[in-house]
Order: sequence, then C-alpha cells, then structure tokens
Amino acid sequence: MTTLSVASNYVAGRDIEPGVVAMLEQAARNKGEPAYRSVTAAEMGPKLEAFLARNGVAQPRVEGLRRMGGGASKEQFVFDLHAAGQPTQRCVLRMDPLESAVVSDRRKEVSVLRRMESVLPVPPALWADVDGSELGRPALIAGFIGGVTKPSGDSGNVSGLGTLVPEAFREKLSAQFIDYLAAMHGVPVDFDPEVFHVPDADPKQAARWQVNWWSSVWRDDAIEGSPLMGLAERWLRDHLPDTDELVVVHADFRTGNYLFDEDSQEITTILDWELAHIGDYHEDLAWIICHKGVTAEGEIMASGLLTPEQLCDCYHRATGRRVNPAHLHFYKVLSVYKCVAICLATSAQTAKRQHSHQDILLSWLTAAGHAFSDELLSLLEESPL
Amino acid sequence: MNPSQSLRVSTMMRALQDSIMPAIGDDQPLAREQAGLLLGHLAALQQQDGQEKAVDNYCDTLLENLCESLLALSRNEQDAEVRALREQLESACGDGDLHAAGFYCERLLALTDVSDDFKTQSAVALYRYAKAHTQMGRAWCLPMGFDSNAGELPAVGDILKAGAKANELS
Repeated sequence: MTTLSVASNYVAGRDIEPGVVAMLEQAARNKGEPAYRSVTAAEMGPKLEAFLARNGVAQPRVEGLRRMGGGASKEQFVFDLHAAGQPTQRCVLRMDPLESAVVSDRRKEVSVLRRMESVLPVPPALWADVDGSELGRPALIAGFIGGVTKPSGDSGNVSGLGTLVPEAFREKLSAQFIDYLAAMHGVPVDFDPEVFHVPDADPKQAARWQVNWWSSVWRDDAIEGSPLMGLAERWLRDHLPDTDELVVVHADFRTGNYLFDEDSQEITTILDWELAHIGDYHEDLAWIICHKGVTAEGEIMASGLLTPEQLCDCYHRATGRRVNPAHLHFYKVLSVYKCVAICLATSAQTAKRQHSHQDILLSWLTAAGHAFSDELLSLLEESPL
Repeated sequence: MNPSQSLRVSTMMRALQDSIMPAIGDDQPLAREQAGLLLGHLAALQQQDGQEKAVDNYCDTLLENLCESLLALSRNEQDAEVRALREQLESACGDGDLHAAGFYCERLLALTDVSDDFKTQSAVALYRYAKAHTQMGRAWCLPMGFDSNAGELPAVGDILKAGAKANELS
C-alpha cells in the first residue's frame, strides 16, 4: 500500500500509536477527494431514520432536524427522536466532513464517552457509524445536553480561543473543572486496550508517541516550511520526559469544551473527546494553561478560569500528583506546537481543498497560527537547549 | 482603478451588515456565524489592502538570510542526513526556489544528530529570523483579533519601512 502520511515512517506501536497511523493514512487518502458538499437536513432525515431502524430503534421518526452552529471540525445537527414505546429523546448528530481542523477517530470518541459516563457528566453516546458506511461520513449520535459555553452577552470569539470567563463565574466553574479533570485522570488506562493503546513500553514512549503524531500532522499538512517548527521538533525530541503515571488524557480540556447552566453555574457536560488518548497528566494541564484568557489587569488565566499556579496547586490537592515544572514545560511546548500545526497547516490545507463545511472558519483560524508561533518562540527561548 | 478594491470591499461589508445578516433567521446559527466571519475577513482584507506583495518580499528576505546562516553553520557537520539536506538547501537557494528552501531549513533544524555547536548557533540564527517573521505574521493578522498583546505590535507599514532601511544599511 502506498504510504501517504509521514506517520507511516515510524515503527507503529514502538514510536507512534498504531491507531494514529491508520487515522492519518486515511486522512491523507481523503486529501485527493473533490470539494466536500455539506449534507442538508432534508437529505439527512431519511438516512438517519433508516440507520436508527437498522440499529434496533422501533419505528424511528426524526423531527425538527436542524443544523447547529459552533465547532471547527464536525457537522452538527440536533433533532428529536420519536420511537415506538419510548419517550421523545433530543439528540445531537456529529459527523465528520471530509477533513477538518484536526483528524480524529469516532471509535475512540465512542469508547471514551461510554467509559466516562459513570465518572463525570458527558453526553451519552447512543449510536455510531464509525466508518461512515451508513450515514455517508463517520458519525456519532449522542444525547442532547443543555447549557452554554460562555455566559450570554459575552461576545467571545467564534473559534472559542482566547476565552476569559467573567469573574462572577470563575470560582464555581474552576472548582468543578478541576474536580472533573481529577476524576477523568483517575480512570484506569486499560479500559479498552484495543482502541486505546497504552504507551508503557518505556518511560519516554508516551511523550514520543505525541511528538511523532503531531510532527506527522505538521509535515503532512504544512503549506510552507517553518524553520521555527523545525527547531521546536528538535527541542521536543531532545527533551522527551519520562512519564511517571499514565492517565486518560482528554487533550482538549478547556473552556469552550464544557457546557454549564448559567443560573446555577453547574457544569452540565464535558464535550469534545475526539482527541482522547493515554498519556501524561501534564499534557492536559499544559493544554489548559496554553488556552489563555487575559484579565483587564493583564493577569493570565489558564483557560480563562484561574492562574496557572492555582491550576497546578488545585490539581495537586485533588489528585496528590506533583506537577513537575520541566515536564509541564515540555507539554506546554508540545501544546503550542500542536496549535501551530492545527492553525497554520491542517486548517489552511482543509480550507484550500474545500474539504469542510467550515472552510471560512478554518481560513480565519489560520491567522491564529502567527500568535501561537510567537508563543512557541517565547517558550523555546526560555528553554534549555 | 475605479472602482477601487477598497470601495468594493466596503460595499460588500455594508450589504452584509445592513441587508444580508438581518435576513438570516435565528434558526440558522451556522449561516449567521459564517456571515459574521465573512464580514470579519472583508474588514481584515480592507486593512491589508495593497501590502501583500511587500509582506511576501519581506518574509522572503528574512528566509534568504536564514538559509545563508544555516548553510554557513552546517558546513562542518558530518552526519549524512545533515549533509544531504544541506546540499538540497544550497541547491534550492541557487535555483531561487525559496518555497523548497523553507522546507529544507525546517528539516535541517529538526535533526537531532548534529553537533552541540550547531545546535546552539542554529538556534541563535533561528531566533533572529523567527522574531522578525512572527512579528510580521502577527501584525499582518492583527485585524483578525487573535493577538492578546496587540498593543506591543508595530504596524505592517512600519515593519516594512524598518526592513527596507536595514537592507539599505547592510
């Protein structure tokens, strides 16, 4: 078989998660496809009903199917499902366009959602078409959960980046945010070893898998060479940390990816599990820190909620795990490296090939890559060579 | 040329704001969001109007300088992969193919089997290049609103003027 992704140059299992190679190879094959045509609600309704009937739903009837806003990666629809002898259920259909800002795997999303159902609030994963053979594209149908990603009246940014949570909400949301992070990191990592491979062959394997995953993404999608990304890759390979304890890493745990009730300030659900994997707990902490909100006084708030120091202290109190500054720094560099790859490479390429229903958002998001590049440069300058 | 690009963009923005966006119903959130993004892109294009070529030339000059530094710094490296990449970079520069040269620079900098001296010196050269390059990237994309330190950034025109002055002096 022709090798299309740089990921295939690594030894699968030893140097990169096998599932990631398969995922990036499939993504590389998709690149040659013609422009993506978004499916309409009218086209999707009958397909959905047939799919649900084949999956054991008695006399399914899909009503009120309509497109949702938000999100840079999946096509999202909401609908009410009526079935014989069952109460009406509101559902969300999340479907892959041909390409998007990130490549991910529906099998992983379904597996981790089902495992987390008893641990923290997540949308119930109801049905999935993991290879797209029935609905046209890989898709997941989940239960609808109410809530907002930001308080009403807060303009924010359509991309969800750079969100600062208003002060009145921070304390209560922060406490739940940390509790759920700790709960997720408390789940044993061997819950589905066929889908979630565990990088435990050597202490550096977890970090090596991530560097090889994201440097493959960058090299598969880069529109132009970036000497800065080259130096960052060298630095990452030279400074792979040992992982002390493996956890389930969400990999996009941040404000914008949880919903909350505006009145009670209770988090109602944690979203966007598509990049979940087994890895180092510092990875989620670094990702949270790298998604900054800046207060009027210039204070940097991790994920718009609390200072990076508060985040690490609270995490230590909640889990007993110590935050190693060198490991955290490594994962901060990796986090920003990923952001540059997502913005300047994958988003730009997807928009260029017209492979998403959100091309206009992806070309907008590309611009954020320069601010992330600047941050990457700052992190490298303060790193030991 | 009349009508100017600027006039055409501003009329598109007005049509979007006054006629098109109000006509999109609340039940079409994706269409509303995308219309808002369209307006944002047009506003950014209006601010960037007429400068794209000069910005590309500025970035090309930065890259040419970095290529020159990396070729000099890697001259004594022994690793076969480094030597092969160095040859490719030299050839791309000789052919004036800066697009390929950018990729070769990236790969040369990504290699780990290099001397400590090359690691140190190439990082210094890269920092010099990347500071100027990311500053221009951020300034160019400032109208898109992603930059949290916007106040510290010079305008694109000022960066171009400073670059031209530095080239005259060198």
